[in-house]
Amino acid sequence: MIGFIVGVLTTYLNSRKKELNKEGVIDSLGSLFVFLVPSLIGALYSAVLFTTSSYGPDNSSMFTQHDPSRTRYQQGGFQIIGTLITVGIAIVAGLIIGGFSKIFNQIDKE
Amino acid sequence: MVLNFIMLTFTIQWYFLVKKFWYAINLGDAGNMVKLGDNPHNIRLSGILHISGQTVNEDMMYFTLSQAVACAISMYVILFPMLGKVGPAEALVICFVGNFAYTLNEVSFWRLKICDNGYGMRVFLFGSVAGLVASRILGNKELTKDHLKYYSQYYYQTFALIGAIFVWILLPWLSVIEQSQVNVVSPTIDYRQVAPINIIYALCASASAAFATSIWIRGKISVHDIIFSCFAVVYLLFRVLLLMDRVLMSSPIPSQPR
Repeated sequence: MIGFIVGVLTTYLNSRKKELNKEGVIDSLGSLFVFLVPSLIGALYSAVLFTTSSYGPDNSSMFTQHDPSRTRYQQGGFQIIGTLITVGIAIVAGLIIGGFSKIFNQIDKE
Repeated sequence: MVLNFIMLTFTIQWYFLVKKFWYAINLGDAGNMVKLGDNPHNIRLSGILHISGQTVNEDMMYFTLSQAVACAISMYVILFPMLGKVGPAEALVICFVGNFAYTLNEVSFWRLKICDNGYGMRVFLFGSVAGLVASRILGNKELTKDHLKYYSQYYYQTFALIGAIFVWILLPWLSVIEQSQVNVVSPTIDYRQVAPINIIYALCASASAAFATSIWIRGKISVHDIIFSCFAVVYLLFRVLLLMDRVLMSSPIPSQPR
């Protein structure tokens, strides 16, 4: 089911890449569709799995990052928080990288 | 190619220094288990330990080379949206700044005890968002659209086919290695058998769906759609790989003794 959904979604979104880059190329390799969408789905799906499946504090011996004192609902919430933290840090990092890269970039100067 | 090597070599060195910085200010170590003076004894090839007959994954307690390589992959993902309009200077900027952000994200996970076994959030989500934001800032609409350096199109479907074969051959067995390292201690399920089957199932479904959707939307089969969908499903699965093993296998399989 996951493979089918991701296959359809990625192919559909990849066909829209030209529209994304219509006014100037923003995404060269299709990172939005190849990396961002699947990893975001995966991150949210892991939160769902933590919450709904039997996997939880009882099965924490193999994953030292997991806090045994949390309920599975709390751990699912922390997975969502982790996703938001990642996106937040990435946006700030992207702003800084883009700003610095603009200083060194040679395309504008040719 | 040169850009890749520059980024890899710089990242592996810079990663340990930056991560040490976060630990030095006591941000990265929730339990204060890693002291600054412990260096270099806490640098290892991997964080997988064998303690009294059990295998445990203490990946975040140590500074491992596998983490540094994962960080380098994340830097590549940042680079991907900007391909064609950056040079070595910008690549070093990506590594310099990106390492700080990547390690901050990593130690935040460790501090908050957030599970990210397949590095999906740390590597791919972080890299893609940062890369797209940076590319949006860097992108000059008028100049880059038809710029000679930035003119990129897919001419050779053969390369895409080679990439698809690479994914099909390598990644299921990569999961076997990972499972044999980490989860072999389970008394009920042999994860070495389950993980590649899950990957192969998902790859089959993904490739079939991509074939159908490609014909439906484009009116022809595009190999690039197939490889993109294969990569996408593998990234997703690596994110939830260890969790999926528990979900998909409803009936336990007796494990073989090591």
